[in-house]
Amino acid sequence: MATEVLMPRQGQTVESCVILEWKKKEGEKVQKGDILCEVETDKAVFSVEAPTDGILLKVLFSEGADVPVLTPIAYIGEAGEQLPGTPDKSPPPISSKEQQTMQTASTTSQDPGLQYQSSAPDRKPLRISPRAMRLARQNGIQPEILVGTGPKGRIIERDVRRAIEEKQQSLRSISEEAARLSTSWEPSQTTTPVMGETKEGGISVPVTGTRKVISQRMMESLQSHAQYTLHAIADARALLRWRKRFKEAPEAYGYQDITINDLILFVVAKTLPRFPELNAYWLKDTIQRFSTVHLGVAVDTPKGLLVPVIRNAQTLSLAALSREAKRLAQACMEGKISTDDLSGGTFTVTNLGSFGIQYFTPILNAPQVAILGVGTIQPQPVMEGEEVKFYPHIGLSLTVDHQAVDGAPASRFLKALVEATANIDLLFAGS
Amino acid sequence: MPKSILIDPKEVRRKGILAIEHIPLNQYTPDIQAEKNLYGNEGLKKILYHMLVIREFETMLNEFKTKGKYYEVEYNHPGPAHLSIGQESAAVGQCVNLSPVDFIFGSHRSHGEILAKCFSAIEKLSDQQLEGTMKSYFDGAILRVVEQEPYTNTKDLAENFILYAVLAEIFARETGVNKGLGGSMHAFFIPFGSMPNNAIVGGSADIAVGAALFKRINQKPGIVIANIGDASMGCGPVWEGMMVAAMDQYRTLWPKETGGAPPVLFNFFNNFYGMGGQTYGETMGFKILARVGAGVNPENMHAERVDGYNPLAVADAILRKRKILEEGKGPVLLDTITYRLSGHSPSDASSYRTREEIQLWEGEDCIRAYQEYLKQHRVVSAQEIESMGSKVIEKIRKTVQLVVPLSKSPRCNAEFIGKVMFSNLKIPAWDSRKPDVLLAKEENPRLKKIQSKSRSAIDAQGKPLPKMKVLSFREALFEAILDAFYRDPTLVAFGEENRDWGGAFGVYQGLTECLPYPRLFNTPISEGAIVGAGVGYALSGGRALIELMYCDFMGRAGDEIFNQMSKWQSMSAGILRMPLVLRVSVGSKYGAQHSQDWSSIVAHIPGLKVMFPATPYDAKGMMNLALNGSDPVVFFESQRLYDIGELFEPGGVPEGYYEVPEGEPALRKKGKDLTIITIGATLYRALEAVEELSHRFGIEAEVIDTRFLNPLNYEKIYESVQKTGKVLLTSDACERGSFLHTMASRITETVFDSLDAPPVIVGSRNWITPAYEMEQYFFPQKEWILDAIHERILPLKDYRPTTNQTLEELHRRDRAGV
Repeated sequence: MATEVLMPRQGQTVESCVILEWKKKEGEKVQKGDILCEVETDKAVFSVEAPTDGILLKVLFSEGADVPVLTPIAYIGEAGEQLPGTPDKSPPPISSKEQQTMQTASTTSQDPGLQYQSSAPDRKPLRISPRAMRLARQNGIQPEILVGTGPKGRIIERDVRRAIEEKQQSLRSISEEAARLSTSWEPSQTTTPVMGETKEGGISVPVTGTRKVISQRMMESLQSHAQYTLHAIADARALLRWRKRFKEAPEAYGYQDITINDLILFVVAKTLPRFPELNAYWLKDTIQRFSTVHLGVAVDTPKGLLVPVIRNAQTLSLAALSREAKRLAQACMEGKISTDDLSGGTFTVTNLGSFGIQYFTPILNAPQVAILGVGTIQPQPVMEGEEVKFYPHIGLSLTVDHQAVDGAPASRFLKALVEATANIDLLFAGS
Repeated sequence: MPKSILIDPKEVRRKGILAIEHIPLNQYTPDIQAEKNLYGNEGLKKILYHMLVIREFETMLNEFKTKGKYYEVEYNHPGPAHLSIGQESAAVGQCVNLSPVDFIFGSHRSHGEILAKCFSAIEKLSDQQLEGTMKSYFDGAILRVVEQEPYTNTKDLAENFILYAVLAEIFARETGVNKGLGGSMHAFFIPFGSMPNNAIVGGSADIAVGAALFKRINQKPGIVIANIGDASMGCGPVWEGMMVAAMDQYRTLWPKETGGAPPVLFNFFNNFYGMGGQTYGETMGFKILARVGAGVNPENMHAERVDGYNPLAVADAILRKRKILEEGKGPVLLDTITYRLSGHSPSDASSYRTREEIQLWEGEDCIRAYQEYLKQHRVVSAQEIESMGSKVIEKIRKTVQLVVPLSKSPRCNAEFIGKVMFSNLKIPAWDSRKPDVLLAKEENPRLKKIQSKSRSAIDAQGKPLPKMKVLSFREALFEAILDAFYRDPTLVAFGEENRDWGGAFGVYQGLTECLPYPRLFNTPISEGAIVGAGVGYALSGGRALIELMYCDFMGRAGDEIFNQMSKWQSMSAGILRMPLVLRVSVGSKYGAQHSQDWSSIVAHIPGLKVMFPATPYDAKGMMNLALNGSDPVVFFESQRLYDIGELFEPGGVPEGYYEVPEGEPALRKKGKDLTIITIGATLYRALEAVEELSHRFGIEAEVIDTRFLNPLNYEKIYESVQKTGKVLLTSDACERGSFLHTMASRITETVFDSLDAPPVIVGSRNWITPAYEMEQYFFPQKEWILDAIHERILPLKDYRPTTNQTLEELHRRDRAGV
């Protein structure tokens, strides 16, 4: 009897893994402990080892496939041995290349008059019972995130029920943690808040790992929060002046790397404590306001956007804040960021200014009630007496959850940010 | 009683020689004077006229089949037309001395017989009777078409009526004798004694025996003729029918006043060919068919060979034989030789016979010979013959003109077929006379014994009672059956070991004491004829309760169950009723040929009601239902359950009469997590599984006992599966092709969106049933149910399956064909 090689389960929260590379080929002899393939979760890359000696009889999934954990991915046995019923045996695994060809073919050969979608999937179809699917829809659960405990990993009713229960529980635990955070800060155990943007492209890319988490969190955010965005511009002359000043400062001070974004973070960290309704979580039954600012900073990484958190940002000097922001961004880029550094934010700043974006509508990093989007600096006309003058201004876009915060308090906060930005010198006095 | 008939070894071992009486061959000697005295000139001329009508009718059909045209009318008839051109004298001669109450059953080649029997009846019935029949038949629908054309008198109109209605039937029109649902091979007209014609060779033999039993037991007038062909002598059911018809018990055991043996005549229209096989010299060994009579009883079945090419020889034979039959001394076998000049069907190129042979018989053509005979003896003139011939052609041409246009003779609405599949009537008694019994019902010794027992298997505290003190499943059946015998005087029960023994499983114990012989009797081991006779008895107007000892023996009665019992109500367009209940026991312990549950096979056949009770309450309530209806019921009883007491119904099995609502499954246990549907005895194994699911896994399963396979109201099932989203179906039938799959597919289609897993079937293995000691590997067990739930519906926590119920294993079995 051939031995099944299962996609291992890497911890409780891992639902599926992407096969990166097969190290052994079908028909190849393997020894127990040999690395069969490399697989990737949203957190790490690891190897799947041969559980026994024998011939790699059958590879059930090709590279690039996203395979639910505990699903058989290969069979090892003796040469010529008949495989036990292999549900995915036929049609044989399709390589990503073939998939692309197939997709292209299906879109070109399709009668344009037909409204039918070709069902050729670009990855393993979701196995979910009709009942579970209906229940998931009714409760706003994304079935793709579920781990099926039905036969062969099929998502069944109880999996959705568990997810509903977990969702409610996590809301409860956030609420509890928020209560703790409001008194004293301790390293948080909550799950990683991640955010991101969509990419465009002509090829099909499996939605996995970070991308999958981002997509789910963003959809959940949009579906369950009443988001609106306020736009304003702030006089950026002070920012530019100070930026220049820091660059020119003697190296010993270590101010050279202070960026415009660091200055904005500093403005936010210093202003936010005066507006606790914006430094808060929306928890449906309660709104949790925080006196401390754990400032989330959006970082663009090759895997998508991550949001590391600067703890107690309101207590930090500009230089300390800048250093912490650099450290976290570096860790994100290198994939070394810890779970702790990714959790517990109370407010988030995201910056697209370097791309020339003037204003945009950031999406809330729920359950946070507000997020500040930072745009580019551009000259704006200003009336000075009878005269029109052009001064550099920076775009600020504040997205707020209307469930928690009305337009007026949000505007007051944004107005405070605008003023603080223009008069950042005054903030230095406070640090 | 069998006990009174001693089998003495000295007697049976004595040396001797069996002398067989001579069998007469073609002994008829024409005697025109005697014939004139008997039939009169008019009667002799009518014989010619009827033969001419049949010849022209079939010539017309042949023209349509081969040329698509008869005179000026064009028509394409794609259906069958098995012609009997050349055999008219045999058909007409037979009916000369039959009365309208005599029955003739026929074959696929029976156009001539239908016309002969009906025309003979028209001669014998009064105008008033004819008008009454024509006006009442389908509420005068046929008459309204026919009477548009001119006619000379009522008999002329009645002839037109029959010609029209038979041709309309052949051409599948609503105005046919059976609304076009019977067609060429099955047409019949009961009011004139033309009974169902059967497209299964020899199919009429055992049915005719049942009709004769009906006449004899219910003291109805008339004899019954099974018109079958020489080739049907090779068919088992024909022999079985002859065996049942020739049982000694009619004379040795039945009360004298019953009147002896059933009045049945097996008439073999011997045209020497079975399709293309030559029964003389090739496919049979009897040389002379009449010889077979000698193999059946000491009277040789009063067998004779009769010259079927002379209608008067045939008429003479029938006259003599009907006396024998009426005296209860049957059965009779006639070897009526004849010859079909036409092919088996119009597509027949007659490659199996020589031109020379056909020419020889053409030279002896029965119609021309009879014409000559009458002319020779001045009964009829050449002129009369000619005018008779033109009259016949005129009649047939008019018939064709009326039948062919769909505007005049439309087809029935196809949905009508669905309305006549079942008659769905409640008929407590099929006759008003007092049922014949030997003692008052209350005095029945078994019933008295039952009265001391508990009606429930558990006491008031819910504790199980000792088996001996509890009303059993078989006793519940007995109560229902006893009740029916005291309600319906026509009810008879027969099968193997039914009397004294009480049936192999004792359901009928206690009936022998209260029922006189004709109402309960043993048959030979002739499963085909047991069912076939039941069919004949029921379609003649009485209720029959018949038994096949084991479900497996249904194979022996395949044609009777699948083609006869199931189809005659609808093939008659709802004219016939089929109050026939067939009890079959589903066995275990006795291996491969005694342990099969074939309920799925039966449920597949349209026209049968299929019941399978699993509790004493249902056994009685469903038997009451079956014995109070008008439709054929196959009633399955699991041998595992005969001893079981009532566990579900609060208060147990009622003493009085009640019926289980038809088609309604029973909810045996409420639950919310999973639905288990059972058919038959698997109910109890499913309940064991349910117990374990609840205790070990906290899963509350709902259990539904299907009870009825057809008809079946799925509402309760849909409701349950909608609630639970998970369903497992189990029965003792082999898994492949099981009725459970039909249910599963219907459930899937209906409540797809509620399903949390595809419906899972747990049936018996697709194997032979092994020995009792190994049955746990064959029949569904509690563990199989749990394992299948774990593998295919809802993985159970920390559960280790002990059998392989995975989909992969099923795929392997599929590939291996097991």
